[in-house]
Amino acid sequence: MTDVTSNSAAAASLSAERRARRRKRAFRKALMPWLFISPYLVLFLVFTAFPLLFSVYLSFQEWNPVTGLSGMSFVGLANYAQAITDPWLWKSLYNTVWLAIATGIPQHVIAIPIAYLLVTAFRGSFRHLYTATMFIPFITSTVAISLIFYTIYSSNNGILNQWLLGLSSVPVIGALFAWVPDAMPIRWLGSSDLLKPAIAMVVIWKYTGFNIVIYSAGFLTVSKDLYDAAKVDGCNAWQQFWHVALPMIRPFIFFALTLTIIGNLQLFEEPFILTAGDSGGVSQAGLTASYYLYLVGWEWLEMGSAAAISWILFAFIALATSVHFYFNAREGLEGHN
Amino acid sequence: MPALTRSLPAVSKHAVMIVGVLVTIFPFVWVAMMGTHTRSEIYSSPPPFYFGDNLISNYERLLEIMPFWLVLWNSLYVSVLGTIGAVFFCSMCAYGFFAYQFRGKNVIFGIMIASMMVPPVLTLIPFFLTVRFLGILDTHFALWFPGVANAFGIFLIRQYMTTSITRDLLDAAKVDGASDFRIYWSVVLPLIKPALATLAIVMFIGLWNNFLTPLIVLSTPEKYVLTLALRSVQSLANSPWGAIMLGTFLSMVPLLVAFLFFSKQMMAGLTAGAVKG
Amino acid sequence: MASVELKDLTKSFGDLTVLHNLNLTVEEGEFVALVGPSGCGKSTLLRIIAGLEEPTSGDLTMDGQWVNDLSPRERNIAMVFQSYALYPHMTVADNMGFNLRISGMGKAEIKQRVEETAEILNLSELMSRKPSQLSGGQRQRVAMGRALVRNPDVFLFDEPLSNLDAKLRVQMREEIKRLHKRVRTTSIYVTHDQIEAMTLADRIVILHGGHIQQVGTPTELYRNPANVFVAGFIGSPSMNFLDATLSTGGDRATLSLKDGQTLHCPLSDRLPAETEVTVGLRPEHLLVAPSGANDNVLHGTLELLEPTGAQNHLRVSINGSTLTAVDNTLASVTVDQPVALTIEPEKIHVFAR
Repeated sequence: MTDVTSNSAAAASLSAERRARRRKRAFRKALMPWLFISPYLVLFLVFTAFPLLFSVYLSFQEWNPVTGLSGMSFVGLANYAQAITDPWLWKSLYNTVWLAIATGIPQHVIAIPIAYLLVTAFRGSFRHLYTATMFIPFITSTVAISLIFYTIYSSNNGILNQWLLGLSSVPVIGALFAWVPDAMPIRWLGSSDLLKPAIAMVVIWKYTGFNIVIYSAGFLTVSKDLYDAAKVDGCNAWQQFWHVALPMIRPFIFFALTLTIIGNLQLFEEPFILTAGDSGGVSQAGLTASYYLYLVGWEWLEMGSAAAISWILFAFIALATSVHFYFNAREGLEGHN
Repeated sequence: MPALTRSLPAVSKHAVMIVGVLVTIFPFVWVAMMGTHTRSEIYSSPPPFYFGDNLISNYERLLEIMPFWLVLWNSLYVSVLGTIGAVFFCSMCAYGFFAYQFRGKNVIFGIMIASMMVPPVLTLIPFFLTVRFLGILDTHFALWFPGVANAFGIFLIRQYMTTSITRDLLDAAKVDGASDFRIYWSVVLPLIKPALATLAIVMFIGLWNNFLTPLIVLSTPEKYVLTLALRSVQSLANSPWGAIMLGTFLSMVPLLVAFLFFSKQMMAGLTAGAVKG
Repeated sequence: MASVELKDLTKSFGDLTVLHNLNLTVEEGEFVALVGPSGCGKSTLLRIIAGLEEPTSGDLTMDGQWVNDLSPRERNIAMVFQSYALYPHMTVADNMGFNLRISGMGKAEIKQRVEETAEILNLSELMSRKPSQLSGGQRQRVAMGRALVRNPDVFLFDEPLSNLDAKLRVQMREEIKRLHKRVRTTSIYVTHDQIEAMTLADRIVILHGGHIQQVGTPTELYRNPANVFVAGFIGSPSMNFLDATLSTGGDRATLSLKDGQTLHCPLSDRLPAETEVTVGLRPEHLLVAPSGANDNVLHGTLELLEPTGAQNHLRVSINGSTLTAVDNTLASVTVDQPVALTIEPEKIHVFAR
C-alpha cells in the first residue's frame, strides 16, 4: 500500500476504481435473489395479481368477450345490482351452503372414528391397506367419478335403484324398504329433492378417505403414555377417546375443516357433471355458486356480471372462513402443548 | 391399545374396515364392468354385476366418439410438462427465498402465503381473460405453464430446505467456489429430492385430474384432455355408456397403477400441507 | 500463501456494530488464533476474511491486494466449519474434489490430488463412503481434506474441534499442528477455547465486544496481559483478582488490600498511574507459605480443598474474596483452618481499574 499512499491522486483514482467495482459487484449480488424468485414474480403478476385487479375493473363493465375489448362499456354497480336481484344467485348460494354442510359434516363424523380405529386397532400392513384403499377416490379425477355415479344414479334400472329394489324383497330387512317399489323409478338426478343429496353423497364418498389420512396422522401424534396416564386417572374407554385423543388432534380437525369449508364452497365439478352441465339441473337444485359463475361467464357470455359474481362469491367465502376462524382458530391452532 | 377399541372383537373391527373398503372400491369395480357391456345391457334389469364380452366393441365405439389416445397423450403431455416445470421453477424460487436475505423478502413471501388463500374461483374470469389477451387461448401451454411457479410448491420446498440444509453448507459451497446457480443445482437440489418428489406427485395428479381450466381454455376437440373429452361425450344423444365407461376407466388407470406402487408417497404428498399443519 | 491485513475494519448489522476498527496483520505462513467469549465477533471476523460477509468499512487486503468485495473463490481461501458442512449426498472423494471440479480441473488430476490429500489425512480407506457413514473425527478430517486439497492461500478454521469429544479434540489438535508445520499455509483459527489457541497458534488475537484486546504470542499473553479481560481469559484456572490501593515508595510498589494486608512488587513502567488498581494473582503462582515467612504473604482461611492428583486446588477466603491457588507440593493443610499464601513479587500483575 505504501506506493499508493505516496501519491494522493493515484490513491483517489484507485479508491474510485474500487468504489466502482464494489458497486458493480454489490448490484450483481443484490440482483441474485430476485433472479431466483423471478419465475414466481412474473407468473404471479401476470396470472394472479393483474387478473385480480382487472376483474375489479371488469365487474363495473358490461362486456361480451366476443365483441373484443372495445365492446366494453361502463355500467357502474349495475352488475352487482343485477347479480343480487337475480334469484338464481341466491338459489346457488343456498345450494352451496346446503351442500357445504351436508357434505362437510359427514366427512368428518365418519373419518374421525375410522381413523381412530385404524390407528389404535391396526398395525403395519393392514392399517396401510385399509387407509390407502379409502384414499383412492381422492386421487381419482372428479370428472371420472361423477360420470360413474351418473350411471349408478340412473333412474332407468341404475344399479342403485336395482339394489334398493332387491333389498325390498329380502325377507327381514325388506320391511324397511317396502316403500321402494312404489317409489320406482327413483329419479336421483332428475328430482329437485334428491339432486342435492345425490351430489352430497359423491362428495362425501370422495373426500372422507382424505380426511381419514389426515386424522390418522393426527392420532399417531398422541403418545401411548397419554392413554396410560388417562387409564391411571380412571378414564374409561369412551373418556379416553373423548378427553384425551380428540383434544390432542384439534389442530388437525381445524385444518381439515378449513380445507373442507374452502373446498366445499367452490364445489363445481360434481354438480356440473351430475347435471350434465345443464343449467344446474332440475329447477336449479344443483346450481352451486361456482356453477352459476360459469354459466354467466361462459354460457351467457356476460363477463362483467361474472366478475361481479366472483367478488360476491369471494366475499361469501371470506365471510364463512372468518366465521370458522373466529370460532375455532384459537383452540384449533393452539392445540396441544 | 386404548380400551375402547380393545373391547371390540377383532372380527368386528375388520368388518367396519371392510365395509368402508367395499363402499370405496365398488364404483371402480362397477366402471370396469360397465366398460365390457353394451348400453342395453347396462340398462337392463337387473343390471349385470359381472364382466361382459363387449370390451372390443366398446373400445371401437370409444375411438369413434373421441380420439382417445390423442386425448390421453394430451393429458400426459400437459401433466408431464407442468410437473417438470413446477419441480424446476418452484425449487428455484424456494431457493431464492431460502438462501438470501433481501429487502422486501418478507413482504413478498407474505403475499405469496396470502395468495394461497385466494379461492381459485375468484381468479377464474380474469385468468381466462389474461389467457385470451396473451393469445394462448385453446393451447396446452395455458394449461400447464401458469402453474409452474405456484405458491404451494414454493412454500412446500422452502419449508423442506429450512429443515434439511444448513447455512454452513451453503457457505461451504461458496468457499468451494460454486456460483449461486451451481450451489442450487449441485448442492441443494440433490438434498431436497424427497420434497421434489412430493411436489411432483401433487402437481401430476392435479394436472391430470384438472377439469375447470381445460373447460374454459380449450375449444378444439383435438386438443382436449381426458377429463374434458369424457365430459363432452356425456351428453351425446343415445350416449354409448359402455364406451364412455371404458374410457372413464382407462383414464383412471395410470394414477391407480401409480398408486399401487407409490401409495405411501402419494398419500404423504397430498396431505403434506395438512399433516405438517 | 498470503499475508492478511485488516485496516480499520468495521462491521455493523443495522444499528448494531459488532466489530470496531480492527487493525491486524497476519504474516505469511503464520498460525493465528482468534479467541474470545461467544458473541465477541470472532466468527463474524472470520466470515469477513472468508468473503462470506462484507465489511461495513475499512480495508481487507491479502498479499497487498484489496479484497473487500472478492468472493471466497477469488481470494483462494479454504475454510473448515464447526459443523464440517460436508455435502451429505457426495462421497468422501467427491466432497474433497468438489472445489477442484468447479475450478474445471481434469478428472485424472482431481483424482490424483484427492488421493494424495487423503493419504496425508489417513482417509484413503473411506473414499467411497458418504458423510453419514463416518464418525465425528473422520468427518472432521474430511473437512480438513476438502480445505487442504485445493492448496489455498489462507486456511480458515471456525471452531473446528468443538463438536468432538475431549480425547479426540486433543488428538485432532495435534494433527492440525503437525499439518500446519508441514504445509505452512497462513492459518486463522477461531476458537473459544484458550487452551486450543495457546497450543496451536503462533500468535493469539483476543477479541471482546468487537474490540481487539491484545495480540501476542501465547507466552506474551500469559506473562504480560494488557488488561483484566485478557488476564482473566488466558490461563487455567483463571487469574484471581483483588481490589487494592497502589502506592510507590522507595524501590518498590506497595499494594494495600481492603483488609489491610499488603503485597509488594517491583517498580516498572507497566504499573498504572492510578492508585485504585486491580491486583491479579495467577493460581499457579500462589504458594503455600512456609511458616515464619512474612514478606508478600496473604493470610486467609481454607474453604475447600480439591485434589486433582498431581496438584491440589485450594480455595482460600481472604477478607470476603475467594482466591484459587494451585499447590504442586501437596502441602498438608486443613479445611476451615488458617492458611498463608505467598507469591514472588515479579509475578504480581497490576491493572488499572
